[in-house]
Amino acid sequence: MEQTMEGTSYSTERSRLLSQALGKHAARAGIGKRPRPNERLIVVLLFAAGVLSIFTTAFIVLFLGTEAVSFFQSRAWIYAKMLVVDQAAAPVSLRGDAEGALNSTGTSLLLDLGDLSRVPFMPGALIQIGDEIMRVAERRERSVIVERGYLDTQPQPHPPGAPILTLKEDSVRTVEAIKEEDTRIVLPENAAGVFAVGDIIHLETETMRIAAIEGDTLVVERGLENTLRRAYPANAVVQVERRPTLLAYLTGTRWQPQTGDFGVLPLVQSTFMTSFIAILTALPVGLAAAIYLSEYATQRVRAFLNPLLEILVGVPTVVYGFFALQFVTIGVLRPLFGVDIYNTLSAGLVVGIMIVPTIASMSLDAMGSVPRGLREASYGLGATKLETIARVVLPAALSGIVAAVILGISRAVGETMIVAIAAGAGPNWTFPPNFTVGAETMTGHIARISGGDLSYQSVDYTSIFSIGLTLFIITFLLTQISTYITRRFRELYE
Amino acid sequence: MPHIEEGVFRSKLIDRQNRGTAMRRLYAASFGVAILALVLLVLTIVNEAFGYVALVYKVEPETISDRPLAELTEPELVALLVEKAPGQLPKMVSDALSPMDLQTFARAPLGQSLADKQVPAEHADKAPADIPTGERAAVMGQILSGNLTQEQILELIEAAILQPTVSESWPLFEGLFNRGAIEERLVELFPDEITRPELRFKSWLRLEMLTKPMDSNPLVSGVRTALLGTVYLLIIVVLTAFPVGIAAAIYLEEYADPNKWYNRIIETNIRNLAGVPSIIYGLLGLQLLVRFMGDPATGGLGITSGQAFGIIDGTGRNIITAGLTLALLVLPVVIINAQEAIRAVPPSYRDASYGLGATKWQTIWRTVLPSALPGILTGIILSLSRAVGETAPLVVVGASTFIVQDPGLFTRFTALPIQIYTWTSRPQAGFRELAAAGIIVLLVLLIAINTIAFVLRNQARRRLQV
Repeated sequence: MEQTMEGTSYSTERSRLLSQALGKHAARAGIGKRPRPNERLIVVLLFAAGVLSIFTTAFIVLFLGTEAVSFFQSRAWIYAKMLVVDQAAAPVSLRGDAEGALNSTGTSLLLDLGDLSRVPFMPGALIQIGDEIMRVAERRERSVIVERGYLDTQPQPHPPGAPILTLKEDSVRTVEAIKEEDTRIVLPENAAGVFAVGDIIHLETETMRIAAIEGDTLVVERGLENTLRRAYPANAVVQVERRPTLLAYLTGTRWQPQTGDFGVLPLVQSTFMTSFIAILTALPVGLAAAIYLSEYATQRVRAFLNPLLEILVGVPTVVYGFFALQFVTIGVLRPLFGVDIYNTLSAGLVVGIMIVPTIASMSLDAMGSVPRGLREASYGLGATKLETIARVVLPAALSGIVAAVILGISRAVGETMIVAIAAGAGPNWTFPPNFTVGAETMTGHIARISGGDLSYQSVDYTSIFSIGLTLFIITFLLTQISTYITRRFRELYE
Repeated sequence: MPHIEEGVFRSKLIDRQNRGTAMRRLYAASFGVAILALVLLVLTIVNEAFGYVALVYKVEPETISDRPLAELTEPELVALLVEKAPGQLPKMVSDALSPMDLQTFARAPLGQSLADKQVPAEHADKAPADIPTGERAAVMGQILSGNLTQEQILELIEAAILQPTVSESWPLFEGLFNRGAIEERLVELFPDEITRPELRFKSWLRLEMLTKPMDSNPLVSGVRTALLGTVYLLIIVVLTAFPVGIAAAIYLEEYADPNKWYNRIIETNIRNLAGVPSIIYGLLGLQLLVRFMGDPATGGLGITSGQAFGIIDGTGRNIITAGLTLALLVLPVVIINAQEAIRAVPPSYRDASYGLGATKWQTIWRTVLPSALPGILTGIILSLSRAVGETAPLVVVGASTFIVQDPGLFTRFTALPIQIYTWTSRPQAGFRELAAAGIIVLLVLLIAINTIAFVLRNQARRRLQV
């Protein structure tokens, strides 16, 4: 504001000097009479325009923060699941001859399939022999490979011909009807193991807390959170509360907030997969373009090539997305490698084309600020142009190029439309990363979920803000690192 | 290096130089990659926007006329319309010839509603509603055949009676170079030769696209509502982001003391904002403009949804919230570019202005800004182009995917990139091609904006030189 003060005193001083110098002519020239806008007001208005940007940032941080917090306070109600014997499954047993016997360490089960033509268990299915539960790892023609002693059961020897039970997940239901004043819920055999003391459960809309577990009976506090105590018939479905924790959010590999899976990793993974491919494409092309423009191109060639990069910048990302799907995937990758129609490879390649100009122009700046003297010294030692570039210019500009790459990654991470169109819908955790199948990125997920009318109270609404916050932090850090490197680099030669 | 023999040095030198040339070509080839990508991009779009289709008719053209329809005269065609679709005729006349909507048209005398058209004299003073139901279709047909060309009537017949839908579509190059495979596929799809549709060339890019609203049938769908949405968005961005952006740039360059902490914060902050992903701005717009300032029914203030101004059925997910979101998005880019343009004005200009006795603001307004104008305009082109193509924030603030009515300020809206996105992700035959046609419209719009700005910039530059 001191500037304004100076301005005011300057203008009084100015009119005094004017009248002194011009006398009555000053009035005739009209200089002193010209209406002056109130400059102080103007400066305040201009300042306000500048401050608006602060508000933008403040609101971004505030909203991402508060909604992310309410995401971590949100709850999902999922059906409590227990394992039950699938009565409808076809009868299968261990083979009746001596070879069918199973000791306590064997993993290969020889089966008597009865009327069946093939093994009915899929890999991942749980089966039970006696008291032991096993997990099917592999399906063979007339046998299965299993993992023994699953779910805390002990591996035991089993006789030939022992029946094999197929297990399936089923909702936990109450056994007896519950009256309004009851505090005990009787569950089917073995179902209580699903719950822990302190869990919050739902019967219809009534919230309860498990105070103790006695055998197959839950002792509960009823009517919590001002919900109405009511009577329930037998066979009522028990729902259990799931809350996202920071640990589950950062380490979970499934993302399905409505059903209690809060792991953001699948989204983060595919974001970095597309960015990785993008940088792998953009770095060689962008760097080579920068080297050519900086070291070889004449003025005339530059005047032709620079607009080319500008056009690449100007193409809307939704058009790139169309290109990725229609040409890169359907036209090239699918016929050649048989990739899925949505895949991270094609999205990454096209994001790479998109960030070529970013990397080229920043690397160009970096190489441009390498002093001429360094190059001339290199020529003086008899180096060729290529040797000068490879051994002198590039090492000297290295930090600038690194900054360019980091900023490029930041752009790729934040890119939405290309990945929304070409990378696929639905989070998909693959390990080791599979680039040929569809996987939704953070940005793609936000775009898909927010399309349409989201209720402001839903877990979906708060979840996109928590993903947004994660994205914001990642890109912010990348930008900061890039700026930091650029700044340090500049100091070197000034 | 005396211990290296002359011959060895020479041959190594040639190697080194050859390597240099090879690498130089490789570097230049990077632009080959860029050019190739652009060419392929354009070819892909053209390939999809034009192509071949197999049309299936609800009513086969052969069943309504013995001769090919294209050979019939206007009255014969109109007779077909009167026979097969009598109820739709008043609407056809109203849509094709009258500026009024159907309701008004039905009650207004024909001489008035079709003032500059040919109307049978005996019916000029009657409104369509006054004509007896039995005769109405015939009168309307008479008007149609008097005012429309044969081609226009054919189109009406196609839309009202034949009602074609796309059964299968093929891109241009496949149709040109792999015709045989397409014919085979057609035989496979339609084993019966009589009902087998004919393979037709179809340009999905049509001039009527600009004036027709969206439709669930890709054959007749247009981009009018989306184009209008995009134009409205641009107007809002121009009206809000540019004044504020240029003002902030003037403050930072001319008034701000860079040693003051708050000025440094503003400066750094703007640079950081320029790196924030656009979808984050979408989330900002969703929460601030749509939720908190939007519809009172969901706890908002009703400012951006219009309830505060007495508009009852306004929604928060409208042109205004989307436009303001885009404005916030491009603001940092506008500021940074304007700052650079202002910084580039030589200090001697300012000194000369002060020397003539101008105040600081006069100097800025009359000397600095006009000289910086070409640079500022360049920044504006860049940010406008960005605003036109930006899709993600619009998706997040809740652009609709299907809008038939022209958008108002407080109604639901859509925009060109949103349409392209929606059409791209629809599996039915024809929408992918429609998306390609939409892309061409979008790119033409972008080129137009850039050209206008280029001309403006050159004019501003020329004026400065005089």
